[in-house]
Amino acid sequence: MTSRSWFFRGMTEEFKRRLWAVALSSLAFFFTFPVSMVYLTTQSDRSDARNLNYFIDSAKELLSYGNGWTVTLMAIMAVVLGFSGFSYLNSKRKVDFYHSLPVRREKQFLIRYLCGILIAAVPYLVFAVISAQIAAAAGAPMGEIMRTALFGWAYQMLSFLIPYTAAVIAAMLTGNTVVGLMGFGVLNFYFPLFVLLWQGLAEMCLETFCSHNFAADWAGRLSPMFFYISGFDKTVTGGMVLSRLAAAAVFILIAAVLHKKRPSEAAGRAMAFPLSQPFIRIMITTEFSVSGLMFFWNLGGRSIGWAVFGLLAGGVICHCVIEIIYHFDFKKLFCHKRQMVFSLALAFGFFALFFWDITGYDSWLPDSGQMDSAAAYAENGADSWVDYGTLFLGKEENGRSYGQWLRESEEEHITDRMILENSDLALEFARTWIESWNQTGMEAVRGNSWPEERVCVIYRMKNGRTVKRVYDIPEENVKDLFREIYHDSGYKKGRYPLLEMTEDQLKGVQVSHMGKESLLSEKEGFSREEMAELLKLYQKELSNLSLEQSGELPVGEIRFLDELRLQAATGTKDQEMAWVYGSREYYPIYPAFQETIGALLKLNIKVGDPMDPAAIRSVWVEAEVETESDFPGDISVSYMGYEERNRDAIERIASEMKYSSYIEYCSFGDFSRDVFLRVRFEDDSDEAFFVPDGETADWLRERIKANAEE
Amino acid sequence: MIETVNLTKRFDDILAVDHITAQIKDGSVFGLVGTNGAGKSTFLRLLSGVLKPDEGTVTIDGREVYEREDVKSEFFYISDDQAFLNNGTPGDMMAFYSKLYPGFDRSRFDRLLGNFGLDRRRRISTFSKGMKKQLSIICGLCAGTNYLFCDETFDGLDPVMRQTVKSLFANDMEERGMTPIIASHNLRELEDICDHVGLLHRGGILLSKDLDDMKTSIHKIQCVLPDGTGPDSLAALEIVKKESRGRLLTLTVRGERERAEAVMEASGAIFYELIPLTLEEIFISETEVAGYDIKKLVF
Repeated sequence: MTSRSWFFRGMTEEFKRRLWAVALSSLAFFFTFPVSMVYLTTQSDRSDARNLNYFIDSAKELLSYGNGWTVTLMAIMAVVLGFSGFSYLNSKRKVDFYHSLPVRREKQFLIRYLCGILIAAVPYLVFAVISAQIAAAAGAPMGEIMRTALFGWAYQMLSFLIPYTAAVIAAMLTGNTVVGLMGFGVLNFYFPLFVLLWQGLAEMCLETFCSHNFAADWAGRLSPMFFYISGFDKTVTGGMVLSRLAAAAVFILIAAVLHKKRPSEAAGRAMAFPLSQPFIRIMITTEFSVSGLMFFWNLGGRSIGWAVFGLLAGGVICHCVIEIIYHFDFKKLFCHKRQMVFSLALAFGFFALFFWDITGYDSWLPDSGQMDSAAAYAENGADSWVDYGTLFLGKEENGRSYGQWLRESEEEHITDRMILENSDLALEFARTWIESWNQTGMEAVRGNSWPEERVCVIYRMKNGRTVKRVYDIPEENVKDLFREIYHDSGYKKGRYPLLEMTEDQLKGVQVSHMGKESLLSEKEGFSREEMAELLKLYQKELSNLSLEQSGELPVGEIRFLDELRLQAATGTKDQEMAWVYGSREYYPIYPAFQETIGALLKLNIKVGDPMDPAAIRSVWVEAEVETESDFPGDISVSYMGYEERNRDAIERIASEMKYSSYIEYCSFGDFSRDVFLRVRFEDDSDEAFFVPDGETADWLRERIKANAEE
Repeated sequence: MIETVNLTKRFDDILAVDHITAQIKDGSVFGLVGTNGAGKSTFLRLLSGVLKPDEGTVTIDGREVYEREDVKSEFFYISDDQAFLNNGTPGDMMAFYSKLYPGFDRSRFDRLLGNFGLDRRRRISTFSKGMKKQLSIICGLCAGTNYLFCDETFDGLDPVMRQTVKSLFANDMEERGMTPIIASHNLRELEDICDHVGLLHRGGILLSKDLDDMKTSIHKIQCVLPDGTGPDSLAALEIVKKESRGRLLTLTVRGERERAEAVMEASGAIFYELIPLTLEEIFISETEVAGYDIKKLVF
């Protein structure tokens, strides 16, 4: 046969053989696209521009690569087509039939592999194009809708190659369809579970492990199905296309080689390649042993006895199940005992690696000569109030703008931006912790203090590697250890995005005092120079702030606005955008910021003054109070409250009360909020305040008791 | 000519084909006989390129078979449980094979289908076991290949059909020099069609000979020796098997007929008769020598 004829004749025969799959695929895509699109047209009102735009958006969503149903359908088809295309390999009769024919196996592979793709691709393309035309007939712009459909198809088909080829590989590796499906499960879940176990053990056993997203980051890269799914929830980039092309190419190569090397006698066996059996057996048994160990270890209060039981239970059961599957014989469950013992030992070794920190993970310190830079921050203790992100103004198809806050994680921002001027500070900090830990162990490091603070240190090495460690420190000690880092200008530059703001970006300033906001902008009669001066002063005082000063309760809040943020803050573009921006990016005005407070005063904005009692209608006072119980001599503590309407009492409360929301700005601050206040103002709004421990707090407790007795 | 040299195939711990060296000459019918599990089907699967040898080679006219399209197009393999296209009809099979075998004779296919009473448009899955066998033989014959590998092909065929198939084989051998290689344990079927027999046992080949040579080189002698004379007086014979019932001695001996007769004459036997062995008897005696003894199996 000529090359052309064998290919087309082979394809024709293969299509005939898989007519059922063609019918199923066509039916699925018929309902997915044309039927859905016609339904959409009948259900949508397209009488005005806004509704038409809504219809166009819905139609595009249906045809785009991000359509969740299409993703699901293609994933199912990948498995069905991958296995059905090569199911003949599991039947001795069919293997004898096909492999005795004068057609090389490479050709048979190519025909079956391509046929599977075409069974999905052709109906998808045909019905997507028809749907696009239906949408165009209903008023959607033809070019735009067709582009969406074709791009969606192309990207879906590219992504489809990955789970489809993974299913083909699973079929090649096994000689039985049920075992093949299990193999597909192993291909997809083995490595994600492995990294999950890795992360779990690291989190449970290592004191300084801090890669919270380790498993989530890697799962998408280590599983064909996860990798496939992960490509649809974001905008497609060139890198995503290339990574899919590369992954598909590697998978196709593996599948082709396996098909060529697969022995015909593998039909009907569990595993096609006897050589793969011990590796797979050991890998899976080891993973299940570790899973069992972790489960029972946690269940049994982290006792080694339970850990060993879990290890044996998980490992032995898994090994026996694998043996039964491999041999299709229950009596063979204890075959290859040595491999079982080896797997159990390997699993215990894996656990020991973490449990006894054999690699010295926790005590690791980089060589300062190998270190390029470092960063450090307290996860909750200091500056955890800072907002990281970007305000984004999007535009919908109908011309309506919408705001979105694109949040950036604290860890990400600091990893990218913070470079300590003196990176030895981070090293010294870690060294102090490690020495203490080495000498006294974690219990002693922790002491009796609770809660602990978590200080994350990021080391950037000269070889490009970034290493992260987290050190748990008692709250009472962290301030002393962290002080020098806090004073490093690199810390503040990396921690406070505001320090990067320039005068020319500045379009407005918003000040908040106990929830009451004031806006400074050119429109409000403030000059650019006045606002720039304010920014300069605030940046200077923030840069010079000491850790102690940052622990004081602020007297107000301030945020500096660029053009977009000004629009958001004033709600000029969109009320929804104002809501999205909310109270983000406010910075505290600490009592130490005298120059900023002075400058604001010059602009007639007062911060720090006590609340005017005249504005207060009533105060709900709540606190824990001690009362005598029904049993003589016994004291019971209960949470009680009352509503204060007495003007004298309100005046006293107003002079002492502090704004609750400001507490978040206090670095390592220790404010007792025992007496809680809900202040209702004359304008019917209300805010939360508190009274720090002291005479007024005691006086209020007495009043609560007295009210309760009445 | 098909030649195997040191052909070996293992399935895990089982040695299915054990270093077989054999030659199958063109134009003759090669019968592959053997005990159950002797490796007949495996040997045929190796010949047809379905299996890859672990050791040794299979060549057709000096060319390796495995993964060679040009070589594979010279034979047609009918397995003991032949597969057909899913939901296929005889017509589909004809269309399929005619794309793969350039010499496929469509008109003969139609003619034979008619002769065998098989409906061209009926789904094969509705055929009986015998009808499927008939169809696979028709496909094999019409493929026009030089060699036809048949694994237990006569199983499931009625006696008339068996004779018909044998006639068809004979016809194709005569007209176009086709060489059938037939694996079976039904020795009576092979006896009247095979020219050459290969006897397999436990993966190895016990003997490979022309059937005529085989029959003339092994004989059954029934004799009555004079009083006081025992079988020891026949030491000059290569006795494979010996049985006695009263004074009647039954011997299976190797060697030329003339030589056996001479020894018997010299022994002064009161009565002796040389009886040719059937293929089945040859099979039993040869495998018995190799340890496949019916007595061991029964008792």
